Amino acid sequence: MTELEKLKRMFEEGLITRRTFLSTASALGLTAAISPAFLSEPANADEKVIKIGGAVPLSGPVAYWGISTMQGWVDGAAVINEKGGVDIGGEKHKLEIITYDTKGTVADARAATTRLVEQDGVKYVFSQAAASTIGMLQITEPAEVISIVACWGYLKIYGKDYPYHFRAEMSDYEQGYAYIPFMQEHYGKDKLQSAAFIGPDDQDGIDCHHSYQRLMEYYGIKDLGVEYFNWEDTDFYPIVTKTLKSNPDFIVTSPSPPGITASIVKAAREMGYKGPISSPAASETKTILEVAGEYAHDVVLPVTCVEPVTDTQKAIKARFIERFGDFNALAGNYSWWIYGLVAALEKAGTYEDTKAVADALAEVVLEDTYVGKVTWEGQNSFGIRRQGVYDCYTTLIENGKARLADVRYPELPDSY
Amino acid sequence: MALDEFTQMTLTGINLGLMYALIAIGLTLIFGIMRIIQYAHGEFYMLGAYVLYYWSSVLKLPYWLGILVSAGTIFVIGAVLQLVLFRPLHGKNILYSLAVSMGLIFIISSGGLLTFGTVVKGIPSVVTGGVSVLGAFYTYERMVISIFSATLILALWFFLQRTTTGMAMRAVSEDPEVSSLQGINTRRIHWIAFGLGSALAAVAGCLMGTLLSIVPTMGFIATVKAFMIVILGGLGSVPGALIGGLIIGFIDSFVTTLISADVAYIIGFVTIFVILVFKPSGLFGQQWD
Amino acid sequence: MTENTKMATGVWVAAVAFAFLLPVICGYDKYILHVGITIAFNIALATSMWLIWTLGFISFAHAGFMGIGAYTSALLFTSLGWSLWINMWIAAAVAALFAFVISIPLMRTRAVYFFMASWAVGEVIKRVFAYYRGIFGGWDGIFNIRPPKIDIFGLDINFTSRVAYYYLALVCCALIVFAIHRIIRSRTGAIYWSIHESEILAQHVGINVLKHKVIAFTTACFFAGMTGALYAHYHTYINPKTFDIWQSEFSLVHIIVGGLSTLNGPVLGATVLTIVDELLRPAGWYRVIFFGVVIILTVLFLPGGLETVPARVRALVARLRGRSD
Repeated sequence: MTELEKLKRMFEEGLITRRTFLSTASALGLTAAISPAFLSEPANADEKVIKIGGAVPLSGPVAYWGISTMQGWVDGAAVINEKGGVDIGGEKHKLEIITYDTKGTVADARAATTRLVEQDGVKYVFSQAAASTIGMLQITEPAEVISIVACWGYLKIYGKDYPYHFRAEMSDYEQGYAYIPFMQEHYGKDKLQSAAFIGPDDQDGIDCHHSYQRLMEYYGIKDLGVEYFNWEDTDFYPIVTKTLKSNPDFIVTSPSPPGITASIVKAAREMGYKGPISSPAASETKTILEVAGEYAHDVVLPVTCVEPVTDTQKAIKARFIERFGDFNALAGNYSWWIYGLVAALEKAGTYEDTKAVADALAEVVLEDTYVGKVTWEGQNSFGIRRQGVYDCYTTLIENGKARLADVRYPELPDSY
Repeated sequence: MALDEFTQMTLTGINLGLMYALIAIGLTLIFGIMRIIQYAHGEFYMLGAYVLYYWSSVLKLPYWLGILVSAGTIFVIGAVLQLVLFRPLHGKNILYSLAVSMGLIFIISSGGLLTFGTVVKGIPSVVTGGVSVLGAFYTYERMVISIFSATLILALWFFLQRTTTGMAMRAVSEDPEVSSLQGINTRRIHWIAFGLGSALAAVAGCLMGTLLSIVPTMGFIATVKAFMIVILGGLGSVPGALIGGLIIGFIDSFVTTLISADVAYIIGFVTIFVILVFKPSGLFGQQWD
Repeated sequence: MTENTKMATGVWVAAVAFAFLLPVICGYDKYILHVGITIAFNIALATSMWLIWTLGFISFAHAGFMGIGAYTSALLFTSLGWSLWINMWIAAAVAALFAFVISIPLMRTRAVYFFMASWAVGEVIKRVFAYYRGIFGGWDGIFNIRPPKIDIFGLDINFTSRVAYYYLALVCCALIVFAIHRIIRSRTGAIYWSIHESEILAQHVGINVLKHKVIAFTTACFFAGMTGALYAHYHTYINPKTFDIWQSEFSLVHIIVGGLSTLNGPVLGATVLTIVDELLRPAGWYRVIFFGVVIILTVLFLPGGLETVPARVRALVARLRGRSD
């Protein structure tokens, strides 16, 4: 049902009383006038369609991540539809992507997901960031709807109790098994004997600090402590001054967006800090180079493939630039999700039985995506394989220049 | 506490405080003269930074001239918005101006995401290097920014004290009715004040943007800081905004370094609350009804 | 005048009757019911904020007190297993208690300074929830807050059902609105408006201004706390960010767009803006922009808010008739 019809129905059924009708006519008239602009193209009636819903932040401070996530699905669906669609039991199905904004808040994500599941009837949803994921899971798990998200930490709502919930993006924990070995090889193990952590003062920061602590323990690196910053903070001198007091061999900051990573790097270098700084969430080089300038040195950026290497990567970048006008490494990192789901649908031979699809999805292995080889892991840690693990493209900034320094599949311990 | 640490905290505090003061002085001018709540003040701070970004990073034109261009552009935008949106609300309940400026926040920050892109950007610094002061490291960039902010605040003070327009502004701020009886064109003063206040925020955005990074959603944080300072110092008071800015700057610097960032935030708000309870119109403010 | 009042009562009764029939009308559509529940919460919050406004000030700490209610109820549930039926009242009482204590120093400030001081109160409340991780769960918040059940007189209702919770929210919301209506219609209400008009004058005719301010603030926060408890048990998850300044600001926007002078204002504003926001959801990044445009247009071209629309329409009709004669 289109927005306009829905609006009409609300009026007809008197969802809005006569009195409010009169008074809201102006406001709603505007809405009605603009609504058609955002309708997804209606599919042909005789075509079979699989709907995929997105409840992602498209506005607000985390819009960068939400929009990057959406682009991967929109692009992937277009590519797959061009090739004829998804083959389920010999029948071709087209993909349709419906996205609603969540502003990155829990309550909004819940409303958006309810609408996707109840009204649009989707069986597959994707999301981005913890707040949207929390709001989404309350709806999707009871309804047996498969959710594919990027969400780090919040391990309370992940694992075998959430069999329909897939976390496609590697968290800083999985990334650690790739970038820490790389750093040890590059800088020498004896040069990296102690570390300190800087993260935001919220649950994401606390969870990432937990990941960091487990990694430091595994690699036998001395943990010198943690400093949390406020999202409202403007200057990082005070935080960095405090961190540098303990004199760490290297600093990990996560999940810090590119701008904050750059500010931390700049402040640390200005105060004479010499060791490497790694930022598992930045996934971007341009801002860091612009902001930190000459101070951008020995910055380690895991899962950051800014300049494509393989043909697949080059093709994805070219398509994104054509379709959306720009491309960033994050959008590249998220671009494989839809292919994973499609592989699972074809393998399961159904799109209605989400349990069969979930089982099939956990077995999916993709060999050639923007992030190289992709598998689902986590059997021993979480009792279920729902965490995406893939080749980690680590970029290194040295003397104001970024280069791809390492590609490796995380060296996960057996207990993972 | 070691001396070098103390120096570092003091220098950071002064630097932050002056920049906060620059944003807050713009807001306090608008507040005092027009008696409206300009909640979208931080959005001009953001827009100012983006003007400079396009001027100096994209077009590669001279940096310092860019700050002037940014201030000029935002002055015009501010003045036009005052004439179109805020003039019709003059003399009405202040909640209406609050609602309009809230609408402006939604439009400008989301429109910013749309036009400038969601990716964080940086404005390359023009001054590099630094010097050791009593064991603490002080970059030339921060030094230049502090001096620039201080000079600008002094210039504004001079403008308000000595020029005809400046004195007219102070008169309107103190008593709008009497000053209009004295032949002051209050309507003209209103748009000038709004443009000037917004331009000051734009300059602060340029300096902060160079020091840190810029993103279309950065405006609200500046609004929060500016409000904290303006209320602390008292509405309409320029010295109040300067002192309030330094107080908040020092709290941010010292408490964050010595205890933690979240405690600094709580202490900032508790300080405001306590000051308001004992001095209900801020440190130097005028009483409002 | 009486005819107008009668008509207004009629419209109110019709609106409530319609709200009660909504589940049947919409065919038990869970999404529409969800929107309905959201509207009920927003109305409760906006009307209680409006109650403070009748004395002439706006509290930015309102969402904070809603948070106190939500956390109280959630903690009573997760640690003692008490159900919403008891928790809701304790939550409201705790919110009111905090409001009472803080309002005595808070009421020293006035006008814009009150905005800021109350903002500080709201921020500190939010930060305290985040800071004490052991008690409040930090930024992570509290999970698994379950809706209550009822089992009396052979009735066995589980409020995990969307329809049941819709009726619960509706009844509570209607009670709050009705209570505020009674307060404003009483002599106390007249005193509130007189304080709104002129505090000094009110003082001179022997009204204890501070007492009334404190009582009104406490009452409003009582309702906010109650709403918070209902919110927590519906969403089953709360965290400090839910109760930040934006929640208060959205309530304020609801009041301003709806209208400031009667109770119709906040109710209309909360209903209409919640629906507009939901309709705009597919607009993605344009959503927030259009929301801003709607606010500005209403303020500039509809001074007095949505509540003045019927009178405007009547005036327009009268003028048109006059012209045709």
